[in-house]
Amino acid sequence: MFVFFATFYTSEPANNPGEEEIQQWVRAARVGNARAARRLYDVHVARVFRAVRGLCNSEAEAEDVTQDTFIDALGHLNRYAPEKGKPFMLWLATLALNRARKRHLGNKRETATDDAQLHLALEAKPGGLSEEALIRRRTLLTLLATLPERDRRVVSLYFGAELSADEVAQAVGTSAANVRKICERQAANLREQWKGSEP
Amino acid sequence: MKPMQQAFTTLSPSKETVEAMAPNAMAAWQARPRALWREWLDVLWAAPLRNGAWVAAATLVLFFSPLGSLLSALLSMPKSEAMHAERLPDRPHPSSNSKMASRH
Repeated sequence: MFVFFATFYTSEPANNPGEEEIQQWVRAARVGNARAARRLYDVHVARVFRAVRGLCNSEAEAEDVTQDTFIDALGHLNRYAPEKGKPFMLWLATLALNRARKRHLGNKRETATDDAQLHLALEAKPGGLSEEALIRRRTLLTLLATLPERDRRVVSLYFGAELSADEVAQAVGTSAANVRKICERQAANLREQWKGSEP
Repeated sequence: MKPMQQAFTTLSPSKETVEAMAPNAMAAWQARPRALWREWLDVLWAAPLRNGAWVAAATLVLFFSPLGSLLSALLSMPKSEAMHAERLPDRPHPSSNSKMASRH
């Protein structure tokens, strides 16, 4: 019977779904619609990965954190309580942030230095990226590694998870004005570093 | 701000990475805790008006099916008793047999 009800909420997926549509998928996934659950994963996985990549020491670690975030989120969808002004992505980003923080704290005890990890991370060359994109990626990862913990989280959530300044402020526990200030400052920093890295 | 956004797109996971993580995420969804009462509530919450009508209809059917069969059983009982009573005179009553025996 539940599968019968769940089939009511299976429409064609949109390229850029709005929050209302995402909420509909959440409700459908809760009552047993596997396609809705898969759509939630497909739509959010890249944003979660980008948000945690700068907070993790390596590509593999970011993959683990992203996977754990979705295992936690999809496995406990009933814990998600939708509120006005709090999109589903914000809930996912908060889960991811906590996962990354726990992981980072654990790794600090295990690894010798963060610099060694950063070196390993920069050595990794993901396929499908042009030379210019690789330079951008390297510069960004270097910049993120040098940022204070809070700024790194703010920048990762704002640019990586594509959350608004208000949403980032809610997740990090600061003001929206402060979020904008941090993002503008770090964007300017990155531009300067790019100028420096150009041949 | 735009260069920063473009730079962050280079951190996107590859298709292989996305596909590698998907089975575990979906397995967790399959294994999610599913209490019956919560599923009923979720069904109601999903579309209160439409599903509310369905749930109400289902509840009525579930509730009244056993009651209905009990009622129909009760209603059909007097009929069968009456039919049983109609047949009784055909059979000799045990007490009348004993009376006949005493007369003889």
